[in-house]
Amino acid sequence: MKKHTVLIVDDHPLIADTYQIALNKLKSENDNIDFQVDIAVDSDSAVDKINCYTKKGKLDIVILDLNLPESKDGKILSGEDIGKLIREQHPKAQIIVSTTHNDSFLMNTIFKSINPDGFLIKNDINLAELVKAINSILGDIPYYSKSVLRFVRSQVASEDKLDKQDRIILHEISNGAKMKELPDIVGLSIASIEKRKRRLKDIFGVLGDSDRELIQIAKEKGFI
Amino acid sequence: MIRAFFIDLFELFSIIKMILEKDNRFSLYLFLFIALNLSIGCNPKSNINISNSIAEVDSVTIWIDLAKKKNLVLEKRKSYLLKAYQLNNKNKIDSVKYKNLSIIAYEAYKNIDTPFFKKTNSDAFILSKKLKDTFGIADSHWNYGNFFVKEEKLDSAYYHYHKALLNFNSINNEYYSGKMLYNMAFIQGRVKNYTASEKLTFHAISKFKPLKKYLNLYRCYNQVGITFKDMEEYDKSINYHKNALFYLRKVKNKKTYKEWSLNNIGLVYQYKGLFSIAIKYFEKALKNDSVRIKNINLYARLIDNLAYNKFLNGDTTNLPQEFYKSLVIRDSLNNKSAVAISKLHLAEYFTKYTDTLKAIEYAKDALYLSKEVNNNRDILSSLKLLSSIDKVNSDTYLGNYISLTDSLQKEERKIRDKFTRIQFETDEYIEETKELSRQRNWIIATSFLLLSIVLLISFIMRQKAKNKELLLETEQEKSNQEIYKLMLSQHSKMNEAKQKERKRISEDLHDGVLGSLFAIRLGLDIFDIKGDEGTKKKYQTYKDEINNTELEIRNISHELKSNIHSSDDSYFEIVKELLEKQSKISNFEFNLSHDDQIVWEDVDTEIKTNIYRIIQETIQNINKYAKASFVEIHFTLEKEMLHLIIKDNGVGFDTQNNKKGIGLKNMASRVKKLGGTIQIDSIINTGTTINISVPL
Repeated sequence: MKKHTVLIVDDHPLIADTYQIALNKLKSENDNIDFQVDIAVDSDSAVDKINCYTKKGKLDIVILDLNLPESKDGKILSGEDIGKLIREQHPKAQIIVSTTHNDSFLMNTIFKSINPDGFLIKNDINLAELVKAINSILGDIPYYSKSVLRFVRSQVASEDKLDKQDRIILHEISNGAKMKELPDIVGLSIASIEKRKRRLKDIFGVLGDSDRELIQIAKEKGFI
Repeated sequence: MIRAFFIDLFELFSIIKMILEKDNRFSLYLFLFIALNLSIGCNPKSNINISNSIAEVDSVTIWIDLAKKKNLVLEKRKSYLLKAYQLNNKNKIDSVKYKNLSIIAYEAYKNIDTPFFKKTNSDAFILSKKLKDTFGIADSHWNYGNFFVKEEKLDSAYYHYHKALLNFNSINNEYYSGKMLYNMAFIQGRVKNYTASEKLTFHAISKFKPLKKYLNLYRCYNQVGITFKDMEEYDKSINYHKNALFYLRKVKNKKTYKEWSLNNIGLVYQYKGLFSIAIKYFEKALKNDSVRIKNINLYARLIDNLAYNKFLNGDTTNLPQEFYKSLVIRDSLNNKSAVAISKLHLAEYFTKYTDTLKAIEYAKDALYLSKEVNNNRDILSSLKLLSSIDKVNSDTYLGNYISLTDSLQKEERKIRDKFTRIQFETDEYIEETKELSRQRNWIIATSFLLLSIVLLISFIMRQKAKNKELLLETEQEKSNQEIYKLMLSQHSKMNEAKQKERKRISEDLHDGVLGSLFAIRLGLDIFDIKGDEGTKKKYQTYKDEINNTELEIRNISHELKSNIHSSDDSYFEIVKELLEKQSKISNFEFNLSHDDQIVWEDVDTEIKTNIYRIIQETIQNINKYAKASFVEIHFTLEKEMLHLIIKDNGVGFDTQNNKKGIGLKNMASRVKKLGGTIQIDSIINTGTTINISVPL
């Protein structure tokens, strides 16, 4: 019987509770699976716990909410940073990321920084699916909820066409950033941003000059 | 009687001669009339009546010409002149009348016809004044002057010459003013005001010299010579006489002027006491035999002077016969003052050569004669001589002499004072005029200066006011811009806050509400619901509903976020607000649109402000005049040019006739300031379209 050490990081106690219930359910269904569950409801306690695991022993599974408030020392800004910390200290740990944001840009970023074993968009799943995801991961098979899968597919389809800066531009525009703010955010001149915008419009087949149309199509295609 | 007949005959001949010259009918009439006159001997009155009937303009001239005939008896000439005058009075043309009158007056003067001269000259004077003929006025004064000299009324003469001089001066008649100066100098010399005389003569000389009037120059220098003799500056006197002779050389008709000058020089030497030199001059003058014929008076004078000088020199050859020779001539000429001088000389001669009785007799004669002609100089000489030779009456003569000298001196002083007064009054008048004109000049200059200062000040003030106005205008514009900017920034701040709020709500929904719902849904999954199929299905439906709600909330959250994108349309929003407000006020529908391409944020604030104002203006016009029910405003972007079309369906106006209201002018100037163009088309009762293009 294998006992998996599990750390649940979610600022929502009710959700954390639900995760635990799912784990228990899995345990009750499979005799040879056992979990030792630990819960952190904020960034600080999460960091403490991770450090604690580093000293005491291994950490097998982490269920990580991306929307976490900033840590007190300001070093941890979100769940993403905690993911990075886990990847650093526990390379073998399997991370299931969960988030309410159905956001291509965010997904793209998370794949690059954490490369999670499980990626769940909260709205996609229910308890059964959650159990399925954990189970899948236990079998060393990555599990992505349906929105994530859709994103991955579109990514593969247009892999070479958009680089990181294109994505930032699209993301920022969709978030209502103004043209004159963009150079500071992206780190490019207005002229080259304009150039990229024209190229993006070509890629997405946008006819007019309007940014709105571009964002709309980019959203449809899952880039934002 | 016989003599008179001869004279009449002579007259007849001269008239015939005239008829031959003139050969006109009038003269023939005249001839007949005179012939009649001769034979019948009518009285002059009826003559005039007849002449009246045949009066013609020409006749006056003929009568004058007749009167001028020197070989006629004075009385005849006088009567002809009177006829001329009476005829002339009928003349209606003033200028011709004056001309004749002036000639008649001069002739009357020459005829020594005092009352007639006075009458004619005063007529001429009045007429010339009426004609405003300065020359005529001067001429009349001149005539008066001559007349008064003859009358020995020197002060009056001087006054009139002076008046004539002023008038001639005012018309710049240099020659005649020179003549007047000469006349005045002569009078001054007569009253022994030598310096004044000298001054006047030189003044006259300065006038004659440029005119090359040599005879006048001769006379002037001669006058100066005499003046210096009287001043007892004999050497100078001789020099001036020689000067006079120099100018005489250039005179064509010399007459006996040379001999006259020689006589004068001789007299100077006589006064100097150089009798032998004086004698030479008199003898030289007498060498010219023609003197006797040409100027018998001078001839007599030369003989007398020669004899007198010989006597003074102690040479008694041919004396006293030569004195007698001169006396006889003078006596025959009835020249009383000359006779007086001859007799004085004889008296002196006999005094020296001890025939006292004869001497006294001659001296008494001289005294009587000089008293008769009123020659004071000779009266004095006679008295002086008598007082020394007539021992019995010596005291009486001496007393007379002294009292006459005194009274003469007084008289002369009085006259001199008068002259000075005349001169002084003129000077004063000139000075006054000068002063007045100087004052006037000052007044003109000062008023001109003041005027220019006032003008300058007003100009500066106006310029200042203009500048101030301009400054105010710019400031107004600036503050308008400022207000607008504030409005914009306020707007964007508001938007920002709005967006912040939206973001917050969006995030709250997303993270908070969505998370909770997810937790609840997952939590519900845990419970294994036992019951009938219906209950289980219902349970599942609720869970799905929660899931749907989650999706909805997520969409709302996204919606909230993505709406942020349209935030920089705040300018457009402001315009929209304006239109909304105005449309409510004056009840019109409107359609406001713009190209998506226009990034209002990037458009210059100046352009935005001015366009906002133009729209404001237009809407006001629409409210006031157009009474439109529909207004369309559309912004487009084309080739870096922002186009604005404002169209209404109002009453329109005549773009040709409209005197461009201040509103339209303002709009045009705003567009011009932005370097753009404006086109206003209006059709009466259809509407107005305003096209504005501004470069970005």
